[in-house]
Amino acid sequence: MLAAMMMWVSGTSLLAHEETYKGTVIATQTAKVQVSVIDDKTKKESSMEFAVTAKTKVLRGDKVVVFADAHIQKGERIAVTVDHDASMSNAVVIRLAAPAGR
Amino acid sequence: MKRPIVWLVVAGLAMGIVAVVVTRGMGFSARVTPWTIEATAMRAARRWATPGDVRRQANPVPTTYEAIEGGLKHWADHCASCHGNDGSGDTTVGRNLYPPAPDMRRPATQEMTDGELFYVIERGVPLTGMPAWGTGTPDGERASWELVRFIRHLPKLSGQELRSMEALNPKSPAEAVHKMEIDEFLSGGKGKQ
Repeated sequence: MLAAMMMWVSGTSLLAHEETYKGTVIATQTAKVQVSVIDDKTKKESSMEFAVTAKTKVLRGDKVVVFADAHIQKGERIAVTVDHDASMSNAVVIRLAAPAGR
Repeated sequence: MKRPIVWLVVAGLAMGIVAVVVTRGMGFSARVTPWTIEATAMRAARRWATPGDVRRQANPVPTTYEAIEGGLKHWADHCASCHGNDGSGDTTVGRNLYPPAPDMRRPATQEMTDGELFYVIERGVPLTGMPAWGTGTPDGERASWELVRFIRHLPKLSGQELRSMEALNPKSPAEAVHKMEIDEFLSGGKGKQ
């Protein structure tokens, strides 16, 4: 019973504290990515900056790559997941489309 | 002889009353880090309470590729949500437990005997987030021993092994839908933004 409750609480926590922002890349720097994000409710576009740390997982398609080797292009679609418990601006996961032709 | 005992009881009662008054309404949180003395005392208590024959028990499962792979699959499915695929404990759940999930690659875990690790998996640890996974069946025990083999392998995990574990991590229906929306968005579809 307790284990079931813990599993339930765990599942809720995972969903409640991580948020994914989807948008297009404005610019990238060595350890930062600037993204144009459209708010789902207001439809307003805003610029958000996410820090890329050693813990950030960068996925190009299903492949884990190093941020510098991801070859992120300006205007490319991107999904950035942050963990509100840890930091509002540190990217936990960056997802990018698989390279064309694969 | 009697007087010191009386004073000891009085002092104990006084400390108890002070503790009750001071701690009332002071709040609590599972986010705080346990004091070093508390963590050390609890680890010592756990070791103290583990039966000697269990502590000395050797792992009956040999170190084979199959055993480690079995442990890896089991870990990815049952343990990673708190301990992380890499055993670091650096997950949303693991970080916010009290005490937080330990980094199992470090000596505090790696220096435990195989028997102690097996006992913790099977019996859990009271007043922590670690549940008892034991089923009391030979298959269940073998799975726990394979996990012990895998825990020994944690400090040497390869990138390829970590990627294979990600595919094995359980996903809730909501997470599956979330991933599908992201994939659709990234591939140029409208997706839900």
